[in-house]
Formats: sequence, C-alpha cells, structure tokens
Amino acid sequence: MDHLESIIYPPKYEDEEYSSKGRLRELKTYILESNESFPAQVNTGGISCEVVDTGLENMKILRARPKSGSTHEFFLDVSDNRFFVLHTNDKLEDAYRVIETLTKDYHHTFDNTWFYSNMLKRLADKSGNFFKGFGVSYSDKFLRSAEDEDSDIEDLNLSISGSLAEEMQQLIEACSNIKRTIAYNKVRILRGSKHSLVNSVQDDIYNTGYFAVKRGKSVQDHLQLVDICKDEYSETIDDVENLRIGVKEVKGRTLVEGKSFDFVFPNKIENLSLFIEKMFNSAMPFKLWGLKSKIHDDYFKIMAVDLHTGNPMDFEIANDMMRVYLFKGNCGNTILRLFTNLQMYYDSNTTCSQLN
Amino acid sequence: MTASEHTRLINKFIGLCKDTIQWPNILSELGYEVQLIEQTINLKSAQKISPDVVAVSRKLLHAIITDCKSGNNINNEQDLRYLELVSDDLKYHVTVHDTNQLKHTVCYVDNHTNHSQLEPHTTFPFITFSDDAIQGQRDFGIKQLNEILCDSISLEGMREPTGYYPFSPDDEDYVIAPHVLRGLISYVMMKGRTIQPQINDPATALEILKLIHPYNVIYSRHRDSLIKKIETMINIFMKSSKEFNEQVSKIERSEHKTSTLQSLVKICESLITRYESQRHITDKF
Repeated sequence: MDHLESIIYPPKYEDEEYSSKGRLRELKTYILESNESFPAQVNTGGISCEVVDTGLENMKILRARPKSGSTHEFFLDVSDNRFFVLHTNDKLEDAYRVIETLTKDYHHTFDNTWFYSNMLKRLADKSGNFFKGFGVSYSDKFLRSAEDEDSDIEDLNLSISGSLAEEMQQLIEACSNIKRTIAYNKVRILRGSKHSLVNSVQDDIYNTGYFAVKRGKSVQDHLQLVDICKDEYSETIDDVENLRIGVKEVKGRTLVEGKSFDFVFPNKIENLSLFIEKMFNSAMPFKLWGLKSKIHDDYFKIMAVDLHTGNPMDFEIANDMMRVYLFKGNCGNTILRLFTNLQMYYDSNTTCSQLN
Repeated sequence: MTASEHTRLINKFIGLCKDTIQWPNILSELGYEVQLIEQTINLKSAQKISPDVVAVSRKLLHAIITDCKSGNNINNEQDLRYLELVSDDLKYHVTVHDTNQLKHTVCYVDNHTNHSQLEPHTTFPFITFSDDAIQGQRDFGIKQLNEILCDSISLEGMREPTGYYPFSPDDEDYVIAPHVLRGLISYVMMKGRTIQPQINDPATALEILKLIHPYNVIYSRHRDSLIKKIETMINIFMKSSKEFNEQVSKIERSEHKTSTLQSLVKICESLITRYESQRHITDKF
C-alpha cells in the first residue's frame, strides 16, 4: 500500500499525447484469471518471471526479465486464488508485454478478465462510482480473409471523457449506422470526492481487466474500484459456471443439469466459413481450437478445445445464432472472453441471453 | 462426424425442455426439466427399465419417461416392462416436492420416417419429429401436454440442438471416434502442463471419457466396454498417422505453438474422414 502510494504520485502528463496509453509511469493494475495457483517461476515468450516473497502472506513481487532490457516489477496480490491482481508503475508498453506474454502462454492457465460492454456500463452504476467517459475501439479485421487483408480496414477508435460524455454516449448510441461498432473497450470511472484530487481517483477500466489511473491520488479508492470490479466479475463467472452441463448428486440421486449459452447475431454473418475459421484458429483473442462438422446447410457443429484450460467444449453456429455448451470442469472465463471479443471484433449488438 | 439418429433424437427432446434459442421450448414452459439420462430404474415388479430421458415438471408433478427410437422396431419385452412402471418406482430417482403425488407418462420419441412401422406395436403415446414439425400422438395422460402436443409444432427456421448429449455408449465407433480424438488433444494439453501424460496408460481412457461425456458417471453398465473402446481408438489414432503422433507428442512435451495446433486441425479432419466410412473401427484390433 505504501509503495502504491508512492507510485500514484508521479510527474503529471496532462498532455493528450499520453492519454490513450495511460500516463506512462502512473499506477496500472491488471486482473488476471487463472485456474491454478500462481507458479513460482514462469519462462515463456522470451520472458523469465519469478515470484519473490515480501514477508506479507498474500502480497508478492513478480519480477519479469526479458532476454534483453531491464527487469519489470509488479506487486502481485494473491489473496484471491483465482483472480490475481498485479500493480505496476512500469511503462505501459513494458507492462503490457509481460501481461500479454503470460496470457498467451499455453503452458499455464492465465487469461485476461473480460469485461463485456454491458458489464463495463454496469460498473459505472455501482455505488460510489461516477461515470466520466468511455472509449470505443472497433476493427473489422477479424472477418477478413487472407486475400482481403490489404484492402481498407474499417475501424473506429474513440475516447470521450468529461462532463459531456454521457450526452455523447446517448448521441452515438442513437445513430443506427455506427451502433454496430459501439462496443466499449473502456469506461472512465471516478471514485471518491468529486472536488478533491487527493481524495479521489479516475481510472480507465478496459475490457481486458486493465485499470489505468488517469487522475487523482487516492490509492484507497483505486484499490476499492479494483475490488468492486473483481467482485462483480467473480459473481458473473459463478453465474456462468452454474449453467455448465453435467451431473449433480442430490440426496443420492444423480441428476443432470445445465444449459447452453445462446448468442444471437442481429446482423447475419455473411461468410460463415471465414467466421468459424477465424474464431477457431487457436490464436488470440478467442483461444479456441476446433473441428468443424456440418449439421445442416449453413449450420455447423464445432468440437472445440478451450486453449485457456485445455477443456473440451461444443459450439453450434449458424449465420444468426450460436449455442455454446460448457461442461462441468470448464472455465466460465471462456464465455466472457468469447462475448467480449465478439462484441469488439464482430458486432457490438451481439447478445448472449444468459449474460444480458 | 454425424451423430447417430438415436443421439439426435435424445438431443432434440432435451432441447424441448431447455429455454434455448431457435428450438421450441414447449416442455420447458410447462416446467419440465431433464433429470435423468440413460439411467436404470428398478421396478417394484423386479424388472428394470432404462429410459433415454426422464423429464420432470415439479409444477405439474409429472414425469415424462421417454425412449427414443431411431430404428424400425419396438422391443415387445421392453414395452411390457414400461407398462409395469408405477410412479412410486420413480421416487428414489427424481426430485419433486411431493413424490406421492407424482404421476408419469411413458412415451416414445421417434422420426416421421419410421413412425408408421413403430406405431402399431405399442399403446404408448409418441412425440414424432420430422424435418419441419413436431407432432404428438395419443393420450399423454395430462391435459397440459395433450393441449400442447395435439397440434403440429412447426420447426421451420429452427435449428436442432446437438450438444446436450454427445453420444451414447451404444453408438457406432465412427460416431464416438471424433469425440475421442478431441478428448485426447484436450487431455494431453491439460496434462502436458504438469507431467508428461502417458497416452497408452489404461487410466488415460477413463480420464478422456470424463472429458468427452458430461454424464460419464451414469455409465456403470457400459463403462468398462466404453473405456476399452476408447483405449483401442487412441492406439489406432497414434499408430495410423505419423503426423498426428508427432503433433500430439509436441503438445505432450508442452512444445506446441499456435501453428502446431492449426496443422493438427487438418490432420484430425483427415483421420475423421478416413474412419467415417468404417462403422466398427475397433473390431479388428
């Protein structure tokens, strides 16, 4: 806490040049999800990570050493054995590289936490939080075939903060032409006193579980905000996992339970084969491997493996809908990763009836 | 990679009990939820029945005992055993707030194409699926079900659910093989993180069964033969394709990259195609 107090007082860059990246040396926090305890050592992607004790039971230091360059340090909060919280004031690019390397690694089960659009909006409504702005990032790169990759990419990047943010939000959402691209990739939330920089904090909360302090100096409020978001996320994951398919024992009876997650695409998928190919290409951000088979014309089954944990899961996909079957033992984070990225890269109007 | 007709019927029926998109939720609306799949029920008459699905409505205090028929025959002995079922037989198997008030209906679930051959051989009601409709036939013994099933229910624009029940132990090898293949990759990926998995270890087949079938625990009757079948399939896959063996070994040693996984898709697809035409992959081993 004392150390975090010191790193929330860096030189201030009010310059807009820095605003999209976070003020370079200011406090950044990441929430990572994992289905195993944080390993003492991780060697992956050219980075060697080591967990060092601090003398406090749940607070460690994660030292990440790239093959070349300087060592990066994170304060690692392991008090929650599923959601690890990492704080750093390292440069954004360096911190991002370490987090990205960890989440890309197949040998461990690290994943980002995925705050889909509605969840980000919900966070702004939590008691003590004040909505201060939002960001939108959309690219249609996802649905481009290899031959089509050189043509103009349609993308939209927008960041709005300040007193008119709410009105701008309503204005944009009313415009049907661009509604498809309006998936939030971040919201800005103020917590603490509205009139005191020392007793408040303004964080940009990204849909990947990344928190960037933009204004204010209250570490207490920043940590509370992180906790509120983590709790909200954890509850959603519990709800998702309660719908997994499998059996349960009730008073000596073996009963079956669970149901599919139902996604609806209001804008029909034009090239279903390409959509499936991209979604199950074993790469980020979907992290899915899959074998496709035809059920009917334009209706496919995918027997998939979630590369986050290695668990099997099944999909049925048509051009206007998708059912996802999550089995007992699967990680609920997968559903949130899927939903967040479909909103980001395919269509922000995508809905999932179990998450709306 | 097609599911058997029997498995498809089971999934179609389960889908009626789930509130899912693009599939009628007629039974879900009456409060029916699937409680048992392929479990054996001992009858007071000392007989046993093994219905495919038992769906129970706590609201109506009623159970639908279904047997899915993809073939052209109704086993007369089996039909007689279903006649011996009394609601009291169900009380140790299903959960409702008042088992004494529980009523039940046995029904067959079939396809329109073979319905006329099945129908004369039983007195039980039917739920019959065709490509574009669901039709109930005969008395379901309860007003709400009769009202819903007396008219044809359109399936136009609907998409059948296939994922509630992956396969049955009685399914042919080529139906189960893709599940085993995917299960093997999943298993190796998970285990490869901590230890070098022993693919040829008989215990591995059980681990894979647990991964590929969410209701594996109910298979006490079939478990040993199913495990043996999975073990044999794994051996065949590992021996029949050098490429497959190499890529799986990379995952085993945790040396795989995105490109390894991408090429594995093509290898698996070709293995599936190769075995799709063979109904009994494991027979000759």
